Amino acid sequence: MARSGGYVGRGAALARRDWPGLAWLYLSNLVLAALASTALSAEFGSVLNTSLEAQRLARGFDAAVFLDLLLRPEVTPRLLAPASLFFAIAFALVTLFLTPGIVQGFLSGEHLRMGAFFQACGRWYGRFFWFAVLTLPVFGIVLGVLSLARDALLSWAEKSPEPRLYFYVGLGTLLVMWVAAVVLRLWFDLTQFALVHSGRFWRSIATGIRLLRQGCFRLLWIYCSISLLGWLGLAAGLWLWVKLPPERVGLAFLLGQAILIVWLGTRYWQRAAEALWFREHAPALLPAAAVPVPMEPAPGPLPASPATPQ
Amino acid sequence: MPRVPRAHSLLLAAAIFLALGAARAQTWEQAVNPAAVYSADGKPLSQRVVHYTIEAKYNEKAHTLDATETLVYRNLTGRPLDTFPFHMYLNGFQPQSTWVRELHRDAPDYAWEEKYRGAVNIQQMTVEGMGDLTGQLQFIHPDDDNADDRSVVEVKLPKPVPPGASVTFHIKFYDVFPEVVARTGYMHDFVMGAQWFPKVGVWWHGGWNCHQFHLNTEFFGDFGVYDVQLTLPQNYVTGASGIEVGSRNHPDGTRTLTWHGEDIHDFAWTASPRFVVAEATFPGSAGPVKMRALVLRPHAAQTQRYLTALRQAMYYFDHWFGPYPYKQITLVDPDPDSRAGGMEYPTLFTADTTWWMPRGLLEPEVVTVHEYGHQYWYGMVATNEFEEAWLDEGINQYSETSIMDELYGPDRSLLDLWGATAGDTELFAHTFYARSPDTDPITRKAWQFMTGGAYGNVTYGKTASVLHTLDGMLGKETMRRALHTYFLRYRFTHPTGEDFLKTVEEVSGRKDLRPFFDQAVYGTQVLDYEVLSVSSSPVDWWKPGGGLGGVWRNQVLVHRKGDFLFPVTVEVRFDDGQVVRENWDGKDRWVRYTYDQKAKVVSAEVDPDHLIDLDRDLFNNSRTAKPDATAARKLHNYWLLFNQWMAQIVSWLI
Repeated sequence: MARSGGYVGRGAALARRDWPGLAWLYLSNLVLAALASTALSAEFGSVLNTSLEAQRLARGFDAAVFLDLLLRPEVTPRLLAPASLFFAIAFALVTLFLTPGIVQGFLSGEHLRMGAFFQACGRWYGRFFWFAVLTLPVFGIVLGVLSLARDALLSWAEKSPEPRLYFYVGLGTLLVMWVAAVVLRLWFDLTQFALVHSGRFWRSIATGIRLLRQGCFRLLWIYCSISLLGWLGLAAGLWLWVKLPPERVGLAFLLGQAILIVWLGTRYWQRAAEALWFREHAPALLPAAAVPVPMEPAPGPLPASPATPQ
Repeated sequence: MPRVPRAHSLLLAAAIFLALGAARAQTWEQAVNPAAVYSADGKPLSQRVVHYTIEAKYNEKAHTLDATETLVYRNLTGRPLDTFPFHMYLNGFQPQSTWVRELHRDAPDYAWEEKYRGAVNIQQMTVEGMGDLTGQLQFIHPDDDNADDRSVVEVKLPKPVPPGASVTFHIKFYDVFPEVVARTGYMHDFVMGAQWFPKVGVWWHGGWNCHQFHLNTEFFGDFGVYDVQLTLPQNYVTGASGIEVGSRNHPDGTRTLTWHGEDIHDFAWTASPRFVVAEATFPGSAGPVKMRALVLRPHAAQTQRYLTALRQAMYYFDHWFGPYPYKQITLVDPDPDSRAGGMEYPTLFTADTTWWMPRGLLEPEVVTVHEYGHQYWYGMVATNEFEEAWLDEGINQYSETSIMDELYGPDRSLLDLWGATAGDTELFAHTFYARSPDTDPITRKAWQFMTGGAYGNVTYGKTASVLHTLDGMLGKETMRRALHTYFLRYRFTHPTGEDFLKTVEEVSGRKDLRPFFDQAVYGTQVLDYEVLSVSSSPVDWWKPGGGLGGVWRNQVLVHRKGDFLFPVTVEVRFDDGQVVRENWDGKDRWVRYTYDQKAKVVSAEVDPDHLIDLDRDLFNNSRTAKPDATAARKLHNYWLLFNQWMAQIVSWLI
């Protein structure tokens, strides 16, 4: 069996090979977020564009001026929040649409052409959608129960005179919730792979569970390794962001986009690495016809069994 | 043992109690306590109206306190007094009290829990020469119709106390401390003993001033002497008003500490086994002052921040306003969950921080400077906080913001972290004020404000903005001299708002400030000027070709948007570098300035030196001829990134 490092490295190569999928994701993320942001931008502009006070935001970030801005009746971030949520859900649906094509590419041995990519997207979208509908309650129940346990622990920690206990309990329980969410995510990823591979909806869910039981820790390790690199990228990006001259808005935009590409790419890379693991471990669980695996040498004649009737 | 009849037992108990009380009082009269204040002529600094002698024992498990109090009251009112009201503040923490009613009015979601219940019960009150008057006690509610409020109790004496005479009360009382809802009570093993004893009202302006305990109101008391003995577990580290003059351990694991305070008008104490003590000395102009910091162990790393901020505050107050005459100041770092932080008491105050407080967020410094400032604008200049809270909180907010801006720079005196900045004056004066610019006049009685939020925004933010605007009108030096005079003239007394305003007029030599005071202090007018438009068009625009290359007619239109009349300066800039300043009396609703010249106008700005902190909207004070979208693009960028990131988080789920 390959080492996790092998999956991480080969996952990176696979993600690089199938980069158009990432490009589609990023472009849709940018376009939809831009649509969500336009109204507030216009509101800011109506107050700031002809005011000298705006220089205190342009040449730095004066939080007091920003709060003053939010107090103005023309600026209504609260009213615009639903638009942000709407476009966030729209992006989730776009991601759902693109995922089958991405998965198909990762599972096949070669880069998919655009036509084949979108053909896969269209073919599996319905089943991915219904699978997503099934996963949301699972997330809700598991994270809800953990959240209740977290609240109970936090209220216990709150009684302690040591204020750091509350923080560490909060952080620790969040970590547990994150790991639980990642395990669920891994199951769903494996199920999506199985779905594209076999086309059988319910059987894929079971396959996902069996594969997860088989490789949970290895997959978790792969996922967390790549996450760590993503977090490091994010930290480096934020460090650079703070160092940027405040008036370099264009540069800040580019850096912000780079950070988001790293963030999005991390997830893309995780899927690629998981897909490699799936390719190597799925054959034992899937019908032989669904996975083109090398044929074993033909077995020799069976020895006669004493119990075998002649 | 023969059974003693009930009436006899009561008489016996009263006699023993009186005898013990008299003996105790005599002991303290004879005791030679070291002076708690610096006095150049050896005389008291204040007219000592009251002398409290309290012996109390705190039960740290039940969070209760048993105490006896002896109050000697000097009748300096010039008339006979036969009625005495007492504040019973801890009774404010009861579900039917006025305090909780007002809290529920402002925060309907507030959920009452029994652990928030506080109480102070007078078990017995006797008056020397008049006997046991416990049965005469009657709760009164002078401010509202809430008969269930028990925050003021009144006793009627059988005979009046003549002018110039003294009367001695002996009170046995019992406290139940709440888990801190506001300022006083316990949290974990931390306890803040504030507003904890029956405290007599103030005879002021011809009558008793003893208001009920309200959500927004603070306190008012007469100056005097406090001798307090408090018994607590030996492992508790304690601090209190005044100076510690005695300590003795008992075999049962408790310790009795004795404090002596002079020329103060309240007494508070605090204790916790987790306090770490740090001490330093400030060389004050009245004499050396012991700085004592009681910092919770988890916050010990921030002790130096606290002490540095305290030293800086003491330096500025001493230099700007006058000497601190007490021999000690105690800084208390309260339990972070306790809601006891950021509160002032004579010679003691509570600060506020968290264990993770970053260096760039100056909250511990701001709170320390603010609460120390109350030693002046509450502790010594003892205004009536119930009725004129602005004289305390507002002047102190102005003092705090001025000092923080002086120390750290006006644009980053509150926040300087990861590229984000904020100034203390900008945020804690102007932004507060801008949230409630016209709801209530500054001079409104504290409990009569529209809401708790309006009380805070107006009392703290608007008052500070008014005084910063006076900085701009009179000059900072003049304002400092005015406050210096006000402090020296009225310390250890109870001045009014008019006393303050007249001092500003007198020191500045300005007799024309009344219209400003009428609008800014007594009124609710909103000050808001805007540059409505700037434009340049050819003078001979009607000629073929539009007259380009010739002379431009530049026009600037300034509008008084608010109803506050105030003279303003308008600065107009042109593209050849020329700068023109106009002075407008602001009486009309608008003014138009026209300039025919070869240069085109670039921008116009009302109040270009940023002296009018009272202008509600600073964005409309200026207008540029050409738009510059840099700031809007920057904020759009932040919002875009946030939306992208949020969308990625949501998409992760599916």
